[in-house]
Amino acid sequence: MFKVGLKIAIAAFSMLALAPVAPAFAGLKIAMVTSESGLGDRSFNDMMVEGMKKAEKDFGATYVVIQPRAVSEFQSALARAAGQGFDIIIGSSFDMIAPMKAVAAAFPKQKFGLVDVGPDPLGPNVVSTVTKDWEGSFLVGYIAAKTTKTGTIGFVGGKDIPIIHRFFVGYYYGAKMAKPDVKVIETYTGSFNDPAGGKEFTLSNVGQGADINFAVAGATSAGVIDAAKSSKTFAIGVDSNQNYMAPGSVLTSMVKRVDTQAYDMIKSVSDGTFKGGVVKYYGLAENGVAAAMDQYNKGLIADNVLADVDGLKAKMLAGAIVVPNYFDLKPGQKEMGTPPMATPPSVMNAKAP
Amino acid sequence: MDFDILNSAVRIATPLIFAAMGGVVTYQAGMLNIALDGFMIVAAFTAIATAYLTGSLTIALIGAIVASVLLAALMAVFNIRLRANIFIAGTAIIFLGNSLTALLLKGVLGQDGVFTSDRIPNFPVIRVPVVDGIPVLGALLSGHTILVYVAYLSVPLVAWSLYRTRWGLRLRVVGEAPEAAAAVGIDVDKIKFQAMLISGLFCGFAGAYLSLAYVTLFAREMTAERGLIALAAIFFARGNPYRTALVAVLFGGATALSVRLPQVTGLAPQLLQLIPYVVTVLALVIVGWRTTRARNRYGAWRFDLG
Repeated sequence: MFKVGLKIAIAAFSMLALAPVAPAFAGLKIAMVTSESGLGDRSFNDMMVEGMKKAEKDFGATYVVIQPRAVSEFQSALARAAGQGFDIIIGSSFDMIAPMKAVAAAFPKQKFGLVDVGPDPLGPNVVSTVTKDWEGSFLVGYIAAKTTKTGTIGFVGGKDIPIIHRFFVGYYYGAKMAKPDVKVIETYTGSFNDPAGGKEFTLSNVGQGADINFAVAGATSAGVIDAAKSSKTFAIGVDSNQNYMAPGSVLTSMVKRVDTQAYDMIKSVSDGTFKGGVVKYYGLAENGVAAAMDQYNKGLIADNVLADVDGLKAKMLAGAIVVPNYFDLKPGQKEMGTPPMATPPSVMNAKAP
Repeated sequence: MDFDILNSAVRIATPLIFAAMGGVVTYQAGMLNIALDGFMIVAAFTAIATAYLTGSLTIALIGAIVASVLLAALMAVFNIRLRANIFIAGTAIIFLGNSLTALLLKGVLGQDGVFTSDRIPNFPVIRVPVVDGIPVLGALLSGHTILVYVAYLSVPLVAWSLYRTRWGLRLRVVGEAPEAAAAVGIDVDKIKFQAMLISGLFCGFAGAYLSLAYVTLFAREMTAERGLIALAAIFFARGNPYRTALVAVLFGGATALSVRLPQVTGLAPQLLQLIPYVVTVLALVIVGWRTTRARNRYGAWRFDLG
C-alpha cells in the first residue's frame, strides 16, 4: 500500500512540476482517461468524446483526453490527472476499476467517474454507472421481431455463460412482446475470438429460417456480421455501433450510450448535484442504451417500428414494462418480467438451485 | 437441416487440412511443429492487410504465403541452426505471431481487435455446373472457394511427394533415423529446414483461407487453436496424409453436426459442443494404445519429441 501511495505521490509530484498550468477558463475542466483501445476505436472511447463535446457546448466545459498506452499505465495517468486539479476525471472499462479506486483513495477531494462497470460502489468520491444491457437487448429483440420476414430470429452468443444469458433473456423478451409467435433460435459458439465459428453458427441459424441474428460474442460477432453479408440476411451488432462493418447488412447495433453517461456525470458536477459513492443504472428510459441509427442502416427499419420505441420508453418509465434481468431469475421460474411472459426453457433450468 | 451440413463440414475441415498437411511434412521429418497457429495467424493478417491495400487476391495470397514461410524460416533457424528446443521455439513463435499481428492491426490498420472493410475482395464461391444440381454431391463438391479445392488436392500431392519421390524418402529417413540418414550422406539439417519451410507454405494457405475466404476480416487470435486440432489429426493418423485429412474431415463433420444438433435435439449445446473434442481425444487414446503396441513389437521405432 505504501509503495502504491509513494508511486502516486511521485507521479503526481513529477506532473505538478511539469504540468502546463491549466488554462484560465471559467468553466469546468474535465479529464477523460481512455481505456486501452484509445481514441479512434470507433467504440467506447470515441463515443465518450462525443459526450465531452456535448458538455463543452452546454456547460462551456473544457476537456482533455489522456491516453494511457496500456492497462499498467492507468494508475499513473489517473494520478497525474488528479494532481492537476480537474473538476472531474472520467474513465471507462473494467480494467480501470482497481487503478481508479487506488487513486480516488489517495485524492479524496477529487471527483471521479467510471462508466459502464459493475454494481459495486468504488469510493466516496467516485460515481460509477451500470449499463442495463438487458434493456438494450430487449429493444433490438423488439425491432428484430417486427422486422423479420420469416418469423424466425436468431441469437449468437459467445460463451454459454450468465452474462451472455442476460442479453438473450432481454432479446427474447423483446421479441415475444413484439410478436408472441416469433421463433427465437438460441446458439452459443463457445468462443469470443473465433469469427469463422461465428459465421458457421449464423449460417446454420439462417438455414433454419432466421433472417436476423443478434451477435453478442466479442470478435466472434464479426463473423456473424460477415455471414449476414454473404447470406443476404441481417445481423445486429452489440456494445458499440457496428453498423459500419457491413453497410446494409447490419440492421442496427445495441449500443451502450457511454456518451450520455459521461455527459450526465459532468452535468452533475456543473449543477452541484454530484454525489460520490453512487452507482447509477442506465437503461432505455435513461437513454443509456439505444439501437444505433446512422447512414449505414438507413431505411432498414420501418419508421413505425422506430416510433414504437418511444412508446416503449414511456411504458418503462411508468413501470408498465420491466425487462427481466437474468441474474434476478430464480431456478424453475415459469414467468418473467412485467408483463409476465413464459421463461424460455433453456433459461428456466440453467440456474442450479 | 438438408445437406447444407455437408457443405459446412467441408468448409470447417479446409483450414485444418491445410495446417495438417504442413504439420505432416514436419512430422515425417521428425519435428513436432506446434507453431502452426503462429504461422497461420501471421498469414491471415498479411492476407487481409495486403488485400486491403492492393485490392488483389493473388498478391494477398502470395503475401500470406511469404509471411508465413518467413516465420517458418525463423522457427527453423531457432530449432535447426541454433538448436533451440522445438517445443519452446514453437511456443515462442505462436506468441510472436499472435502479438505481432495484434500490434500491427493497431499500427497499420488502426483497429483494435477486429478489422474489416468493403474494399477487401474475397474469394468467390464456385458453383460447379452439373454437380451443383445433384443433392448430396452438390453440397459436398460445389459451392466452395478455389482454396477449398486446393486444400483437398494438396493431400495426394503431399502423399506423392512423401512416398513416391527421392526427396520424400530422404525426409522420412531423416525423421525416423537421423543418424542413419547422416551416415549415408543426407544433409539432415537441410532436409529439416526444407520441411519447416513447406510447413510454412501450407499454413500460409490456411491463414489466407481463414481471413479471406472463410470470412472477410481479421480478428486477433482468430485461428482459435486450429493448429493444435490439426496436430491432433496428424498424431491420430501417425503422419499419413490421407488418414490425417480423413480425421480433419471427421472433425469438420462433428463440428458441423454440433452446430446444428442443439436445435434439432433440444439437448444442452455444451454437451454437443464436446463432440469434436471427444472425437479427437478418443482418437488420441486409440492411437496412443496402438503406438504402444507397435513400439513393443518393433522396438526400433521411436519418435523424437525433443
